[in-house]
Order: sequence, then structure tokens, then C-alpha cells
Amino acid sequence: MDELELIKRKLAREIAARKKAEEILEERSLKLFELNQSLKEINASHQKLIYKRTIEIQEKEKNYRNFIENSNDIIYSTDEKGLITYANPQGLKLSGYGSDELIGNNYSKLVSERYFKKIKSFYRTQFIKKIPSTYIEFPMITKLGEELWIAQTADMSIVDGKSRFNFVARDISGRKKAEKALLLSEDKYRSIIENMELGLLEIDRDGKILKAYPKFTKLTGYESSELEGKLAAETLLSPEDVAKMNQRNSERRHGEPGVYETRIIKKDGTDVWVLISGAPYYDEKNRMIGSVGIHLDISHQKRLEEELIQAKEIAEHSLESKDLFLANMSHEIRTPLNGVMGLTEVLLQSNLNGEQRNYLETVMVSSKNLLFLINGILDLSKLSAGNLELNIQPVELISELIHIKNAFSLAAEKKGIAFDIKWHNMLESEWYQLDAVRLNETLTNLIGNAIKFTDEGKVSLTVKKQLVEDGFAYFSFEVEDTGVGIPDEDVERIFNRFEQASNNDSLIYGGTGLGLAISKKIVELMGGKLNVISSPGKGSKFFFETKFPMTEKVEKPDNFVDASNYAFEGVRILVAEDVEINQLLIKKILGDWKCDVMIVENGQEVLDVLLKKEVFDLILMDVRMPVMNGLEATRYIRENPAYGDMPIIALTANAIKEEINKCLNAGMNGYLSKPYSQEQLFSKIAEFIRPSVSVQKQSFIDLDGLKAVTNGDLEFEERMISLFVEDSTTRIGQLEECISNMDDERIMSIVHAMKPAVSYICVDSLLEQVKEIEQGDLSSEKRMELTSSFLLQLRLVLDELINR
Amino acid sequence: MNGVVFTEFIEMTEGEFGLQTVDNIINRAGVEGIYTSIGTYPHEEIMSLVAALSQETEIEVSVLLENFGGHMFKSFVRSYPSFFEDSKNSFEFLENVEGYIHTKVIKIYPEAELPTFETVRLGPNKLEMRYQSDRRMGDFALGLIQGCLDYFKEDAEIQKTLIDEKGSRVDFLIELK
Repeated sequence: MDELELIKRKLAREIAARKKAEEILEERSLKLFELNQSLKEINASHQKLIYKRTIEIQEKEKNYRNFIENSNDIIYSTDEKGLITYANPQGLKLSGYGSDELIGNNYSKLVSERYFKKIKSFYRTQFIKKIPSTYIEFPMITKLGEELWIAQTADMSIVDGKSRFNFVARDISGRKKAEKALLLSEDKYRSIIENMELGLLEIDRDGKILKAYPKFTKLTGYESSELEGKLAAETLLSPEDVAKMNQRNSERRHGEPGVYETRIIKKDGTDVWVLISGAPYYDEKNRMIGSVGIHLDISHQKRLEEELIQAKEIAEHSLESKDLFLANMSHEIRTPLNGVMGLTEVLLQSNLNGEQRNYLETVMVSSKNLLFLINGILDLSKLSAGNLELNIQPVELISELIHIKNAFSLAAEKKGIAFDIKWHNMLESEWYQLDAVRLNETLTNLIGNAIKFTDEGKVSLTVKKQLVEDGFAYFSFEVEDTGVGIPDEDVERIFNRFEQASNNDSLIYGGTGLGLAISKKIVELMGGKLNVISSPGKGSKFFFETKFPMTEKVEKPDNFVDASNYAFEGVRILVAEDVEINQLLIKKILGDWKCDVMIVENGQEVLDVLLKKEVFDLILMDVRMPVMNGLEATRYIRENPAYGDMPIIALTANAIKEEINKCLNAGMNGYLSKPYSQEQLFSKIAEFIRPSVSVQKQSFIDLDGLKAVTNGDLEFEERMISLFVEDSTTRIGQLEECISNMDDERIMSIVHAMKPAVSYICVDSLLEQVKEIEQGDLSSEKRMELTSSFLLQLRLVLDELINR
Repeated sequence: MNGVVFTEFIEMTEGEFGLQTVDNIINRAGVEGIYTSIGTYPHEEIMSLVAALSQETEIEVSVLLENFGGHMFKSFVRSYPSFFEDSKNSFEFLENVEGYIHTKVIKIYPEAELPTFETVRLGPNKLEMRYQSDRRMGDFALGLIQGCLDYFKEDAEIQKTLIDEKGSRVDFLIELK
């Protein structure tokens, strides 16, 4: 290829290359332009951003400056030499300096001289060790020379290789003051407590004594050095108190404060009673780290307490003594009363003239009243001890009511007032479970009172069966009178013991004032409440409600035997009785019943007699006897099979239930409480031994006088007798009429007319009575009473004559 | 591959072997042969051109590349005299290649893909230089080093060691005489 061609081709390549280069350059210049454009935009947006940031920074700076300048904290800066470069207004205000007085001055100008060394060394350490931030409290000194406590934070920073301190300090003088005050008040309270004779003891969690305060050491006699570090319980308590204390301490560990009493053993070995108030105390993280015990010497109180307990025991003992006294008194009175009443009864059965009979009957009534009073006192003592129990038995209620009616009819009639008992919704065959004796006692008391306090009008008992439900019958009892009534202010009082509406009442009406108190308690025992409505001058109404369980009719063996018609002929009875008058009485009664009686003085003698192989059908055993009492003797007898099941009946003047149970438990078969009537004794013996028909009977006729007149002419004798019966029957009618008319004259003439016939046919005692009635100087009342008594006996004479 | 390499190669070929050879190797390599120093061309093209020249002249590729390196260095001296102002000797210059010269090159030719040259001064007269490039043009680098020594009128023994077989990493131990 020729050279030219080659050059042309090279040129062509270079032209092409140049064009390519130009394209590349154009492309690049375009790119440059675009880049330039976008750079310009970026620049603009950067400028905007910078402007915005600048504003923000200025705002922030302004805020910070505001913060700093309005801060309640002192804020200031120093250079590394400690020269102040800035102080905020609060710093100037609190220090009292102007800005020009601080800037350029050493910070030591602001530090109290006393603390300067300490502060200087503190910040030197921070500077050397390059500690970024520190905190310290110290008193600042103001321009006026006053000290001001501040808490200061110092931040160290290094700017352009140079150290700088920024201080933020807060006025803590208030807090410091409070701390000081707290210390002072702590001291104050501690000294108060110390001066109050309270012994303080600080104990750690393990019971070790941390600190014993002076009053505590004085209390115990220890030096505080002898106590500190020792275990409190071991050193100060007796072993038996340690367990108690451990319990307390575990409670205190759970953070419960407590007050308790314990004995502390003093250094000299004696003990002292203290009241401990223990409270736990805590560290700043609220962990219980120990407790403070405050000890109050209560030995004196403790002594008083013991004395009080003793006094209480004595009082309680005396209360028991009172009950015992009552029981004894009851026994001691019943014993002679038994003799009095028994023998009075015996005497009343003998031939007496009217006056004698009248006196004896008065003795009997008085004795019964005395017995009633003793029973009342005993009941009250049982009630106050809560020992009174109801003796619940099947009872035919209406028959009880009829008994009550009969018992009071005469008394009401005598006072000239009406008395009535009404019952509703009840039949005679209805039986209930109840204590007939106590119900009777209550109703008797209420009715007795009503009659006693009513002079005209009427007294009534109304019994209503209200409802029957679940086997119970609900009753209301009302005793209403038209008597004197009870003033409002006395209504509450009348149920109290020994209280009557007016003290004068007891003078006018008699009575002990025990009845209502007892009745109220009995009604409560029966599940009711005794109420009263009364208006003075118009009358009173006592009422209560109660319920009785219904029950089937019970057939009771009829033990009632009329003692006057029967006897225990040939029955061998051993009587153990130490009181002579009672020996006399029982001997008389049993003798009348034709018993074979042997009397011994005590239980030992009973055993002696039985040992001699003497045989008896029954033993009447007094309980309280010298040498050996009845219970002991009974137990001996029951232990010996040879004596078999010989009936033993207790005769006890101790009427309480416990005594009765003792008798039955000892092996006795029954009991009779003194005083007893002949009828009661007879019935009791009849429970064990069948009585024989008696031939012995007190007779009111004496035909010797008649026989002397008839001279053996029996026909004439009979005619005389039938004439007497006929005539006397008429005379009885006339005399009764006379009694109701109080016709003295006529009575005197009638009995006078009867006198010869009486002297022929009747016993002397009747003739004596006639003679008495005839007497002119006799009071009318007395004459009526004697006449009544005479009529009673005259009827017996007629009966005897007819049945002869 | 930077256009300078191509334009300098064409220029060197023309100067050494004439325009005919230039035309021949362009034809032989099957390339357009139009290059501008501010353009960028595929690396394979230069290798094709070098291979074509080798066939045309029956001179080994390595020798051609080494010579091309020397030529290139001279061209650098002409075009960028400022590069050489601060260096008092070859070692100083070589030690500045990576940190100074390449930094400037990148500013002018942002698309340039440059090899790395690490240097370790083993003694006052002893320098180790490690070439690393996927272009595997260790011989070209040798020519450049030699050109540098020539420029500073220094004589040195250069020991070339292939660190890997492909020649992408080559150590040069330069010991001044």
C-alpha cells in the first residue's frame, strides 16, 4: 500500500478520533453543566438549612440562657485557674455581689473560710483526676459575710485544650435547718422520754443490745457497758419469759409494734415488772434493722393488780360463802321448824279447846310463812347462781288450775272479793310437760298478791291456749285484779328482791318482797317474760306467755292415802335422827301409826344396830348427823349384800337439788325434805310399804255420860242419839246462818240449848268449846271463829255417830 | 482501558515500525483503530493489538509490553512534568505513585482502572514494589519502572517474581547499583 494511502487512512482515523473526542467532550461538558446546576441547588438548600439551624441554635441558646438566668440555682463558670467567667442572676442575688465584683475573681471569694481548704483540695482532685462531675455540700459566704449552705455540682469540660468548670449550686439552708431541727427535736424527745422514767433499749435483729439508755440502766441496776453487746433475753429475762419474748420479737420482726408486760431480772437478782412498748426501726432502704423497747416500771401497778385479784378472789369466795351460809341457814332453820310444825300438827290432832286450837293454828300458819320465806331465800340464791332448774314432768294442766282455784276461793271469800279462774280452748284431758310446782308457785304468788292488794272487786286468772305448733302449745297467763295498783315509777322496782311498791306496803300487807323476783325468774326459765300493766287505784294485770310440749296422759299410782284411816301396824322402822325434838316428833307420828320404831343418833349407830342382826322394814335417815352422816351410812349398807335392798328414805333439812342427788347416788330410795307433814311422810312410806287399815282414829264422841243416864237401856240410847243427830243437823244450819249474819245473841242461845246433849254425847273438848262460845265478854269475831271450829267438829261427831 | 494507552501504543508502533505496520495490526486485530486519549476502550483491544504487533514483527509480547512501558513513561514525562517536580530520585517517585500520582490520575480520568503499587523500602538502595491488577500487565509495569530509572539516570537491577501464576500479582525487587 502506498504511503499516501496509509497517511490518508491514518488521517481518517485521527479525524474520526477527534470527532469521537469532541463528542466525549460535549457529553462531559453537558454533564458538568448539569452537575454545576445541581450543585447550585444543593448550595441554595444548604444555605436555607444553615439559616434555619442558625435560628434554631439561637433559639436554643436563648432558652438555655433563660434557663440559666431564671434558674433558682446558682450557676457560674470558672476557667482552669478558678477565675469566675460567668455568674447567673441567682448567683449574684444570693451572693450579694455585682457581676463586675465576681467576674475575674477566684471562686474562693464565695466559699466560707472554714471550708476553703477542704473545697480547694476537693476541686484540685477533680481537676487532676479529670473527674467529669462532682457533688459537695458546703456553706457559701455572701458579700455581707453570711453563711449560706449550698449543694454544688461541678462539671469539668475541656474546650480547645483548656479546662473549664461549670458549677450548679442550690440553696439547701432550709434543709440544713430542718436537719438541725430534727436533731434538736430528736434530742428533745429523747430527753423527754428519759425524763419520763421510761427506760429505752435498742436491740438489733438478733436480739443483741445495741444501746441501753441511762433510765434503763437505773431500772435494772446494770451499767450500760454491762448490757451492750449482750443478748437482751438471756441477760434480762427468766427462762420461762424468754419463750414469751421470742414470740414477741418474731412479731416485731414482721414490723408489728406491740405493748406487753414482762418481768425483768435486775442485776441484784430481784425482778421488776415492766410494760414494754416495742417498735421496729428501719434503715433508709426500709429494711428492719432492730427495735427500740420502751420500758415502764409497773411494779407498783402490778402489786395493785395482784391485790385486786386477791380481793376479787376473796369477794368470790365470800359469795360462795354466802351461798353456803344460805344453805346452812336454811338447814339450821328447817331442822327445828320440822319439830315445831310436826308437833303442832300432832297437837292439833289432840283434843283442844277452841282457844288452844286457835293459837296452835296461828303457830302453824306462822311456821308455814317462815318456811315459805326460807324457801324463797334459797330459791333466790339458786337463781342468782343460775342453779334453779325446772323439774319437767307430765302434768294435767287443768287439774292444777282447779287446785289453785280451791286454794284461793276461801281467802277471796273471806276478803269479800270475787275470784275466778277461766280457761279457753282447753280440755281436762290435756297433758303437758312442765314444772307444776314452779308454775303453781308463780300463779300462787301472783294471785296471792292480787288478793292481798285488792279490797273490793275481783281477782281473776285467765289461761288461754293460743296456738298449737310443732308439738308445742302456746299459752298466755293473765292475773288481773281491781286492787290498789302500782305507781308508774315503781313498776320496774317491784321485780327486784326485797322491794315492794312502797315501804309502807310491807306494814299494811306483809310479805317479804321475794315473790315477784322469784316469779319473774321462773317465767324466764319457762321461756317467757313476766309483764305488768297497772294503773294506781284501778288495778293491775300481770301476764306472761310460754309454751309447753304436749304429751300423753300419764297414769300415776295413787299414793295418796288418808293417814287418818290407815296405819303401818307392826312395821319395823329404824330412824336415824340426832335432834331430840325431831326424835320426839317422829316417834310420836310413827307410834300413832303403830310402827315398831327404833331411834338412833347417827349413821354409825345405824350400822351398829344392823350388825346386831336387828331386822327392819325401812330406814328413815337424817343426812347431816355427827360421827357418821346418812350418806356414808347408806353407802356402807348398800355395799353389804346381807342387808338386801332395804328401803332407805332420806329426811333432809337441806332442800337443794344437789343434796337430793347425793342421797339418791349414795343408794337411798327416796327423800323427804324437812319440815314434812304427816301426810307427806305417810305417802312416802306408803311408796315402799303397804299400809294396813287403821282402827285408831281420834274420836269426838264420849257416850259415858249418856250411858249413865240410859242405864243400859240400849233402845233409849239409840233414840237419844238419833234425836241428837237430827237436832244437831238443824242446829248446824242455824249456826251457819248466824255466822254469816254475825248474830252473837242467837249463837249464844243455840249453843246454850245444845249444851246438855253435847255433855252427854261428845268429848269434853266440845263441851269446853260450847262453854267458851257462850261467854258474854267474847269478841264477835272470836265467837264466829270458835263457832266455825265447833261446827266442823260437830259434823265429825255426827259422821262418827252415823257410821258407828 | 484508558485511551492514552491506545494512542501511545499506536504512536509507538508508528514510530518504531511505520504506518504500514500500524495499518497491518489494526487489520490483523480486527479493530477500528480509532482512539482518542480521552476515550475509554476495552482492555482486550490493547492485548489484541499487542498480539498482532508481535505476530507482525515476530517480537515477544513481553518485550513489546516492556518497551511500551518505557515509551509510556517518556510520554508521561512530556505530558505531566509537574508529576516529577517533587521527586528527587526514582525511589521517591515510585513510592509516590500509589498515593500521589494515581490520586491525580483519577481526578483527570475518573473512569481509569488503575493497578495498585505497594512499596516497601528494604534498604537505602533497595525497594520492593508489588504490582497488582487483573490486567496482568506486569511487563508493562517493568517497562515503566525501567523508564523511571532512566529518567532519573539511575542504574538498577530489577528482579521480577510472579506471586501468582496468572500474573495478576508481581513483585519487583529494585536494587540500585
